[in-house]
Amino acid sequence: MEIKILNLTKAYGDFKAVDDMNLSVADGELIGLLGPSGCGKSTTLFMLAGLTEPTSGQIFFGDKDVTRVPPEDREIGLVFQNYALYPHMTVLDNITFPLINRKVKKAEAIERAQEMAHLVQLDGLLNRKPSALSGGQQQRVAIARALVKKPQVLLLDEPLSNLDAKLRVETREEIKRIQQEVKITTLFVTHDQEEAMSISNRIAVMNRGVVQQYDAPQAMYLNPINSFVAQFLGMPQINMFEAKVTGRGVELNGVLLRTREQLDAAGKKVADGTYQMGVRPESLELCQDGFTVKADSVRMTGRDLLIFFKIGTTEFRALTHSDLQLRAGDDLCLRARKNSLIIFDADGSALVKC
Amino acid sequence: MKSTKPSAIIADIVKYVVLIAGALFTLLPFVWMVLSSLKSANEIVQIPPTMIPRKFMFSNYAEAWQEAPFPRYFLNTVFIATVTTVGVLLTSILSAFAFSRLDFPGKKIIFSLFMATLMIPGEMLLITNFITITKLKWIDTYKAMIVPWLANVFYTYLLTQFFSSVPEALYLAAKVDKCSDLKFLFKIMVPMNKNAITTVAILSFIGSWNSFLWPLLVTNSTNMRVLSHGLVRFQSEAGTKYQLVMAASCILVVPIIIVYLFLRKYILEGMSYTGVKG
Ligand SMILES: Nc1ncnc2c1ncn2[C@@H]1O[C@H](COP(=O)(O)OP(=O)(O)O)[C@@H](O)[C@H]1O
Ligand SMILES: [Mg+2]
Repeated sequence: MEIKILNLTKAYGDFKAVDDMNLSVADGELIGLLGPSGCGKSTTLFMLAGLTEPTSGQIFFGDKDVTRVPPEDREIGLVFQNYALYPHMTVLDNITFPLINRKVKKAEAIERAQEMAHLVQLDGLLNRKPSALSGGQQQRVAIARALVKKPQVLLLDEPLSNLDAKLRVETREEIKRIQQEVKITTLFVTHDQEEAMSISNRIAVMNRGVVQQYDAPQAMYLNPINSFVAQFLGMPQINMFEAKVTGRGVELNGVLLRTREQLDAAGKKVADGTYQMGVRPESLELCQDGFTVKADSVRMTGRDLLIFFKIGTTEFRALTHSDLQLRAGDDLCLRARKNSLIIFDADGSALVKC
Repeated sequence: MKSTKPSAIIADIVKYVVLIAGALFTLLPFVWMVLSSLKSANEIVQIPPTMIPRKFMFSNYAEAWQEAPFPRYFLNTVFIATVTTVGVLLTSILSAFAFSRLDFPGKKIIFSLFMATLMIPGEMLLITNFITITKLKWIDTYKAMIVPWLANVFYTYLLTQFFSSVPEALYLAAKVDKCSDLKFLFKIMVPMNKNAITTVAILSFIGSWNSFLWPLLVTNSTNMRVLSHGLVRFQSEAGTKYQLVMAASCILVVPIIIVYLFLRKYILEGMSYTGVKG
């Protein structure tokens, strides 16, 4: 089922929780709705579900305008952040609940619930109460309950936020597998950028109710549209700093990050002045002919070595391989890899990448 | 890990001694009632009083039972207490749901007015209610003893608080699952709060069972009287037959104890799990 969101707005008094959102989702896509807490993700999801009435705008499922259709008639499955299982019912009763309410015969409902339980790997747990399940298992019950009525759209509101780190990674793969098996159009809300990037076909990054950028994970990571997206994606965070563009090129406290030729080769004329810029820690690479800095501290993270250093007074982080032998106080020579320096406009939008 | 420090042991001992003393203290009147019900007419007024009856007078029970039309009183009381309890449960559950989950104009004001009535002493209501009942010509009917008690602000308030603590997500999930408000209330809200509801049921039943003044006010005929009125029967110009009062009191309290034992597990059952993690 394709989804089209047109000029969707939700206002609480003067405050716009979702502001003029436009988004289209192709059939069978998994879309990550990503943003910091309070940016309007859940509000968006609840409007799609029909639980929150939009202030203005339209929602289309296929060709049908569902903006005013009540939730039970939208053919959606919804998974809540806290699972919202009915605690006094068994797992089986929880999963059959949407079917029984839709007047499906009891025998058929049980059969379909068993199929679903198998899909989400809950076989053998059907007679338990939710309180006797682990967080991950409760999560699967919630997904089974959402999918059992064969909805056209699956909506998940931060489904992994209550799980511990390891289970979170497993369960997100599980969700991806289930989504691909059922081939259902899915919207997945999360505030975890890694989670969103790892399973989404496309990501919509939101901030203060406004969609900042809507793109495939890799494209968005490499070409963030503005400084917010650049900072929100990636861990450790992108290095943000202020530097000067002069006749010589891009200068920061006497270090020449780019020559004028390199800057002009990027295709856009950048006027002289001070700009906000960003370069990702992994784009700072060791070399022979770059700028020399002193490592303030070195942190081992397993796969990588995270090096903290300063250019003038501006702090930077660089990621290198963990086999590098380096200690705090050592000198090292670095450069910013080609096509990795992003220069932002005064309003924060990306101007050029060089 | 359990501490074994001497100070901790002493603290434990003190704690249990105090608890046991408290338990005995609350139990004492009850034990006294049972023992007194088995004393003879002479022994019960004897000074100094005896603790254990010299001779167990089980005949007191038979005598007390015959003194007043207790079977009729019993039926009346059971009927009134049952209907009142079922009725008050229904109104409290429905209004608590409205206050905790539905949006309607004036909700806050109505709820505040509701709460304000808790400030009015029951004795004041007695008079106005009596006038109303008289005007309705309901004197000496079951209606008079039941209808005024079919709504209870305190129970409504209590259930509203419990219902409010049920996560909103459950309500929304049920909506997506095509569950109507009424169905949500009785299939999810009520079973989830069965402990609170049982507590309300017990309070209501006991309150109704023990009520004395109101039924006395609105009834005239012996046929309409309730068990608590039976106790007054043992008072006469010749004095009060205390041993019979005690025997009748024992009979009266048995059904309440049975009801309590029957529902106890609901009261004690953990009410911690609310369906939402984290
Ligand atoms: N019923 C409401 N009344 C007023 N403000 C609300 C209401 N629901 C949500 N908001 C506000 O809207 C913003 C977006 O909320 P939400 O969509 O839940 O954010 P999130 O992205 O964390 O899911 C928040 O600032 C929140 O305070
Ligand atoms: Mg949210």
